[in-house]
Amino acid sequence: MEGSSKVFEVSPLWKHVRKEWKLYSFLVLPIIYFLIFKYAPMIGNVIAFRKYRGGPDFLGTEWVGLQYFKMFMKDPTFWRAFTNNLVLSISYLIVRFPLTLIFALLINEIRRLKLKKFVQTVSYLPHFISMVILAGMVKEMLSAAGPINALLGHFGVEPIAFISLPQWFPTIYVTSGIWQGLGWGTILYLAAMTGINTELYEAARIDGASRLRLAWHVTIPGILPTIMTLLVLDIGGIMGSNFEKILLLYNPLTYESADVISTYVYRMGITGGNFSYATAVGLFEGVIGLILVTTANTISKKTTKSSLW
Amino acid sequence: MKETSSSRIFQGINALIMTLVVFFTLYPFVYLIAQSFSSEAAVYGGKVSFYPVDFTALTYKVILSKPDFFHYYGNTILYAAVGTLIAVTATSVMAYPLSKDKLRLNKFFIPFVLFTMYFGGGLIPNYILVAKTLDMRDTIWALVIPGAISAFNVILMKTFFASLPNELEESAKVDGLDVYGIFLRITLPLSKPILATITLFVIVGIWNSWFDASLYIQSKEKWPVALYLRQVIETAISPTEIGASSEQANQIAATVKSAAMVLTSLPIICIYPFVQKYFVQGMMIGSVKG
Amino acid sequence: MKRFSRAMGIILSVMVVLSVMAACSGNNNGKGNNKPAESNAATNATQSEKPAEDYAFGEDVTFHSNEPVKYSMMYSDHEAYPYKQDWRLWSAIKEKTNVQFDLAITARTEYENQKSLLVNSGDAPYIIPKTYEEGAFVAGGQIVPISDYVQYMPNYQKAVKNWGMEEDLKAKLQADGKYYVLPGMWEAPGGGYSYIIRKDIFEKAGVDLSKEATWTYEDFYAAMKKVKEFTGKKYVLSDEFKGESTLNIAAVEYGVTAGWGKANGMRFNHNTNQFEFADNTQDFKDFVSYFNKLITEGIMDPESFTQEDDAAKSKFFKGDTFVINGNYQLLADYQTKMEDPDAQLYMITQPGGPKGQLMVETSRLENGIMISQNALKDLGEEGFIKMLRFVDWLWYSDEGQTLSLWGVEGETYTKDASGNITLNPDITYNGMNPTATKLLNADYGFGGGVFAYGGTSKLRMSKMTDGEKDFVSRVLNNREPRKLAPPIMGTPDESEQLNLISKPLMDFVSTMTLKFITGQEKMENFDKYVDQVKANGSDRYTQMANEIFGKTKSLLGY
Repeated sequence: MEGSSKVFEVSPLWKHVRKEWKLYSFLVLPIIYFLIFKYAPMIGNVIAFRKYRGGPDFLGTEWVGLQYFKMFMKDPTFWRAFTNNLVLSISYLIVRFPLTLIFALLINEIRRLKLKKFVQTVSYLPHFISMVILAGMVKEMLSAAGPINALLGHFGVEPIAFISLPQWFPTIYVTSGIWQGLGWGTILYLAAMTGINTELYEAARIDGASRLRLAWHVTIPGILPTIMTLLVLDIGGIMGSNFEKILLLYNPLTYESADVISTYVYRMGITGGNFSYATAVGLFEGVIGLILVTTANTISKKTTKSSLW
Repeated sequence: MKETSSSRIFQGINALIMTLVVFFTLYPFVYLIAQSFSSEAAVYGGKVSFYPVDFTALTYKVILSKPDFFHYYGNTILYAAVGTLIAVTATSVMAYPLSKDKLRLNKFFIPFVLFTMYFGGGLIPNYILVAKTLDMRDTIWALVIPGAISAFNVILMKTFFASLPNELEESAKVDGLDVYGIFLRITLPLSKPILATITLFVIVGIWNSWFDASLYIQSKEKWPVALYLRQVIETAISPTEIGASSEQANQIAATVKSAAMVLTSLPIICIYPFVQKYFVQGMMIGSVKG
Repeated sequence: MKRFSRAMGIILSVMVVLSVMAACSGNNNGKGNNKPAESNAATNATQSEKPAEDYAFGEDVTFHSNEPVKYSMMYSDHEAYPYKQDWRLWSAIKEKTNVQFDLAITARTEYENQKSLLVNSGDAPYIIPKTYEEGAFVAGGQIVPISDYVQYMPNYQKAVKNWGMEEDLKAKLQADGKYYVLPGMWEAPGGGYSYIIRKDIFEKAGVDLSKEATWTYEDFYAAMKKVKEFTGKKYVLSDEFKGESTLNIAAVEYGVTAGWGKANGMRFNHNTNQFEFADNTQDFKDFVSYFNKLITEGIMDPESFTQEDDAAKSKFFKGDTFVINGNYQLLADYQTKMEDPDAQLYMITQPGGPKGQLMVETSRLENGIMISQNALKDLGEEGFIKMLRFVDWLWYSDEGQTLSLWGVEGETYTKDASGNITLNPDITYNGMNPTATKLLNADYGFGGGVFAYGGTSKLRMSKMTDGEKDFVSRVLNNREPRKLAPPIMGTPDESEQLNLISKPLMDFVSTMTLKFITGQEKMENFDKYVDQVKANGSDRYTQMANEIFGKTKSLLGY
C-alpha cells in the first residue's frame, strides 16, 4: 500500500503527508472500515482458484489453477449470456442517459414550485415498486388480452406474444427500466443544479440567451462533474444487470436474448463446487468492469477535464 | 416580447410532457392502491382499473391489526435513523479529503474505494465475518455497519465537494479556521443538497432492505418491516399448507401484494418533501457575497 | 477434520458395539445407572465395560431418557401457524421422552438460506429437518453420512422393511455409497399434481366422465375439444406454473422429461440397464407434437408458458378457462374462489400415454432430516446414537407420528376400537371441522410440517377429505407404478463435469421444447434439433452417465 512512496522520491511525499495530516486524518477510520468490511472478505475470492464445495473451510481445499475459468470460457452459452449482458446494458445506458438529463432539465424549468415538487415526487414513485409487482404489471400489459395488444388490434395488427419472443426482450428491458428509474435518476442532477450560481444565469439571460442556450452553456457545464461521474460509473457497470427483473421476465423462449451473466450463473446452480464457478465468473466480471471504468475515466479526463481520479 | 411568447409555448409543452409523465408514473400506483382496496372477486375478475371495486379494507385491517406490524415499523425507523446517521457521517468524512486535488495520495485512495465496487467477498465470507468473527448476530450493528459506506455514495459526495468554489475555503482559512473547522462550518452547510440526496438514498436503502436482516437477525422482535412484509407476500403466493381456507385468507391473498407495497412505500414518499427543502436553488449566492 | 472424526468414530464404535449388542434385541432396555446424556467423546472413550443404557428405545417402544436431555434443532417457522413456546406439542414430547429442543427458529421463507449459512459456516444445529436437497451439503463435510448409523434406528428399519423402501433409498445414495438424509417415507406414493377440471362444464359439453380413470392424452384432447365447441371460449386450458407441471406429468407418459421433471433429460432403460437421453427421441417428437396440436387448435393457451400464476388462476376463476393444473390442496382452495357458484371442480387421474397408464408420482420419499457432524462431535458416539433413537421414535414410529400429527389422545383426538382417529369437534385442521375455532396447528402445534409428514397410507388418508381420498385411490388403482431409475453416483468432480454439460444442454432443450410446442419452431426442423442436441453434449453426457453407472452398479444391486 505504501508502495507509492518507493516509486516517487521519498522526501516530498513524506513532507506532503506531514503537512496535510489533518486532511488525511479524516481517512483513517473509513479506511479501516473498508479494510475490514470490504477487503477482508475478498480473500474469499481465492476459491475461484481453489476447489470449494461448501463447509467452513471457506478458503477451499486445494489449488486448481484456472480450471473454473476454463469451464465458463469454453461454454458457448456463457458467451451468449455475456453478449446479451452487453447488449442490454449498453442499450439501456444509451437510452437512459440522455433521457434522464433532459428530464432533469425540463423539471428544472418548471416555474411553479408546487407543480415542480409534485412532478418530482410522482416521478419517484415507480422506483419504489417492487420488482415482483413490476414484472407482474409488465406481463399483464403485454399479454394477448392486454392493453398494448388491444391498441394494436385497433390498427388491425395481430396480437404479438411479446414476452415469448426474444427479439422484443431488449425493448421491454429498456422501457421498463426507463419507466422505473427515470424520475429517481434525476435526483442527483437536480441536486447538482442547485449548486449552480444563479448569477451565471442572470448574466447569460441579459446577453439574450434562449432557454436552450442557457441549458447548454450554463446548466450542463455547471453540473458536468456530476454528469461525467455518473456516466463513467455507468459504463463501469455494464457487466452488471438487473438480475431480479430479468429473472422474473425471462423464460426459456427468450433465453437467447434475455439470459445474462447473473441469471446464467444462477441457473448453473450454487451447489457444491459451483461456488468456485460463480466466484470465477465474478472475478471475470470485476476485471472487465475495472477495465471499463478506467478507460471511461481516462476518456472523460481527456475530453471534459473532469474525471473520477 | 418574443421571449415571453416562446417561453409560454415552451412552458405549455413542458406542462404537457409533465402531464404525460405524471400519468404514466402515477397510474400504476393508483391501480395498485385501488387493487389493494378491492374485493377478491373484483381483483380476479380483472375489474379494477382506477378505483376500488367492492371496497374493502380487510387486508389493511388484518396487516395493521397485528401489533407486530407497528413494532416492526418501529424497528425499521430505528434502523433507518441510526443507519443513516452513521452512513452519512462516515461517507461525508471520507469523501471530503478525496475531493481535494492537492492530496497526492488520492491517486491511490480513490481507486482503493472504487475497487470495492467491482470485487466483493461473496455471501459466505461476509457472513462469517459479521456473524462469527465480529459476533454481530441479532444486533442492530449487523444491519447498519457493514453497509455503512458505499463506494458509490463516496464518489458522488466527493464530486459534489469538489465543485464547491475554493474561495470560500481560502477566506475561511484566512479567518483562522483549520481543516476540521472548514469542513464543519463551511463545507457541510453548503453541501445540503448532496447530503440530503445521500440521506435519501441511504434511508430508502435501509427502509427496503430485508436480505441482511434475514441473514443476521434471529429474534423475530427485531425484524424490520420489510422482512415481515416480504414474508406476507411470499406466503400469499405459494399454495397454503394450512387446512381451512377461510374467507379471510382468500381475500387477503388477492390483495396482500399490493397492500404490502403501498404500506412500505408510502412513508418513504412522505419523507421526500422534507428532503426536498434542501434542493433549493440559489443557496450559493448568499454564501459568496457573505 | 473429517479424518479425525472418522478415526475417533472407529475407536468409539468398537466401544459402543458391546453396548449395542446388548441392546439389540429391540425391546425394553433395562434402565441402567444414570449417565449424563451430553457426555463428550472423552468420557465415552473411558467406558470400556458394557455401558448400561440410560434411556428406553426400540421398535414400537416409546423413547424415554432418564435424564432430561436437550437437542439443538432448526425449526422452519410457518407463518400460518407461528411458533409458540407454550404449544402442547413441546410438553407432550417432553412428557413422553424427557427430551426438549434448543430451537434455531427461522421463518419458512428464509429457512433454506439460513440452513445453507449455518451448515457452511460450521454452526449447524444437530437436527436439520425440512431438507429437500441434501446433495449440496455432502461435500462440505458438515453432515453425517447417516446411512452408517441407521442400523441403530429400529422404527426406521421397520418402515424400510415393511414398505420395501430399499430401492427408493438407493436414489439418495451419494458417490461414496452412503446417504446423508433421513428421508420422510410414505407407504404409498401420493396423488401428486394433475388436471383440475370444471366437471359441470365438461358434463354439459357431453363428455362422459365415467371412464376418465382410463383416459389417455388423446382421450383428454377429445374431451377438451368438445368443451371448446360447447363453450366457444378462446381456450380450454390456460396453465399456471408456466406449464411446467403439465409438461412434467405428461412427459412421464411419453417416456421423456420436461417441465419440473426435466432434470438431466435422461431415462433409464431397464431392459438394457443403460441410461439414454430421452429428449431428442421419436418419443419426444410425439410429446411436443401433442402439445403443439393443443396450441394450434386453440385448446391450450400459449401464454400458459409465460404468464404469472395469478393470471392463469384469474382466467380459471372467472370461467374463461376450464382446466388448470394443480394438486388437491389447490383444488380445495380454488373451489372457494370460483366466480360461478355452480362450478364443480374435479381432479382427473393423470391421463396415460404411449408408454402406458403410468403413475406419475413414484417417489415415496419426501423431505427429510439431516444430522450435523456437530451432534457427533458434541455428544460423542453414544450420545449421538441416543439422539438418533429419539429421532427414530419421533419421526418414524407410529406413536411418534401420531403425536406429531394429531396430538394427545383424549385431549385433541379420540381413537376408536379399530384405531380410526377422529379429531375433536372443537378443533379444525385441513378442512375438517371447518366451523371449529381452535386450530390444531396454530394453537396446539400439532399437524405442522416440521414434524408431521410421512407414514402409513392410513395416516395419510386420515388427513384427507373424501374428495382427495377418491382421487388418490383412483390413481393407485388405475395406474402402474414405475420402476425407479438408479442414481448417477458421480464423485464431486464427476458431478461437476456432468453439471457443466447438463445445464446448458437442458437450457437448449427447454427452449426448443417450448418453441416446438408454441410453433415458433417448425416440426420439420426436428431432425436439425436432434443433431443440435447431440452437438450440445447429450451423447457425451449419456456416455459419462453409463460409465459411472457401470462402476457403481454393484452398490446399487444391478
